[in-house]
Amino acid sequence: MNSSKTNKYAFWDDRRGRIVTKIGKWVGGEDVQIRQYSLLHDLFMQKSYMQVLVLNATGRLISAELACWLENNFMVMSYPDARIWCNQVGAFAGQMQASPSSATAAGCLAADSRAYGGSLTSRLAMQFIQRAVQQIQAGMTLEELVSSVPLRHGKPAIIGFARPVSRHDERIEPHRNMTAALGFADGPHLTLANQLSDYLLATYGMGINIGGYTAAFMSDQGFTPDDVYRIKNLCVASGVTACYIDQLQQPQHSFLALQCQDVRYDGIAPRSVPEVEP
Amino acid sequence: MTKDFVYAKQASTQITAEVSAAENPYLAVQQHIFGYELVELMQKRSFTDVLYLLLTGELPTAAQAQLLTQLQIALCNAGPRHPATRAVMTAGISKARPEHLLPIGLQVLGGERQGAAAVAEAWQALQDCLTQSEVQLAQQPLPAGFGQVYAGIDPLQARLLTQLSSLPAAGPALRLCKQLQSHWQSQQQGILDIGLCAACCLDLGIGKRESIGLFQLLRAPGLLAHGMEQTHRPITDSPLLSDDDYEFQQDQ
Repeated sequence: MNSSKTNKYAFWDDRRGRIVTKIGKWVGGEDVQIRQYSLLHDLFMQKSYMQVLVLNATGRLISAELACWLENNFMVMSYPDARIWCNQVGAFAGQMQASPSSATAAGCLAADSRAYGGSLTSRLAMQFIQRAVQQIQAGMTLEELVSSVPLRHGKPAIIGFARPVSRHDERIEPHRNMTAALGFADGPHLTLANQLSDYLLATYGMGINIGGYTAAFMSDQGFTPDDVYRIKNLCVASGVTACYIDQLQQPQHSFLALQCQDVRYDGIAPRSVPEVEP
Repeated sequence: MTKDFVYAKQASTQITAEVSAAENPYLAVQQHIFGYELVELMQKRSFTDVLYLLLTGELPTAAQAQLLTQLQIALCNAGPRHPATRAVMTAGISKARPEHLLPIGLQVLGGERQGAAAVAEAWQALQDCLTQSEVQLAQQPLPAGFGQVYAGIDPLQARLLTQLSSLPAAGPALRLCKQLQSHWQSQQQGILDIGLCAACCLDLGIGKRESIGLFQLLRAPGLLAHGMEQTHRPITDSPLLSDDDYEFQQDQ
């Protein structure tokens, strides 16, 4: 059983009581290695927190400009408004006086949604735009691309275009300005996303949203959909925390108070419980 | 390794013993829970019995099983207006990944304000009350596990207390709660769900820290059901306040 040539459990035996990793190592009292970098000698006071966050999430040490872009992108993904679903979860956690970690983690879990939130939606939007660029490069027209997408409520269901709450996305223009100011040129994904936005706006009245813009920009920067899902998994956190602390000391049940009759019941009418058969 | 490195060489548990397969030491062919074989438990005992076994190390008597079963039903659904349920419903309808719904509910439920964290406080308060005389009890402030909901006694919890305290396994803690319920009624203070859970745990011999997790576990079915129900509905099926209904009071 222990012979290395014949042991079919050798892989697991090698990991009994051992951790095998490439992400880094803490050397107590001395330093910390993050991938190929020394935390204290290469990164501390030299790189930003966002650069280290992306390094830990993807293994890439990104430029200061890209980190600045992402930090500002995070800033607009987390509004302190408890009408937004993840923030509402944080507010309920505040009402229950849950711990700040529970509240914020619960809100972030809620935003791991296919409808909004910037993490899972980024992955889905990147999968779409990266596939779309390949299809267009293979000769598909914009009209054919849009018509290949299923319709929902009479409009193409393309993640990254239009929003759960249908309004003009106030974050697009500042992002375009930021992209230019930081010296980034539009690559093939952002170029197609802009063309698609113009077409969808003219045809269906639905333009690009921040998820679509971020997906295209990050695709141009060479990230995979999974990379961005991992980078942005906590991007709504600060807005959730704000809504949590807002409710923490408020009177119990005061957040969107509900009477019994305020929750509509549309199930089966009351009926008696049958006797247990002998 | 320095000699002050005092950590054990391996993890340990008194709960589970696994019997490994003859051919593959990484696979278990049998599992024993506090000595009882899993398949034999499946054949002879209920889920409630095995839950009690996991938390206490012994199978319950019939009376104890009845009390725990009824507590399970009593707590299984906090209702759609409870903050934890509302958090789960909000997450469900806004298309959070379904596997997150129950954890979201349990995290919100874990709060200190009449949440799971407060069950242990109630457990300790009732335990302390059990050592006091009637005279001392009458002079005590309102113990944890009792209080007001919407400025009154929670009538549903009062009914649940009456039912649970009528059972053969109801012991000194549930009897104490009936006594406290009468004592504090004139001041519009009554038993809370966390107090009910704490009292049952005390009478069932379930520990203080375990009572926190048991409360979460027993509240889980209603959280799960309400959250999942909402996932089948469009995001527009729940209210989203307009700007007119959102008042921002900005500091001057």
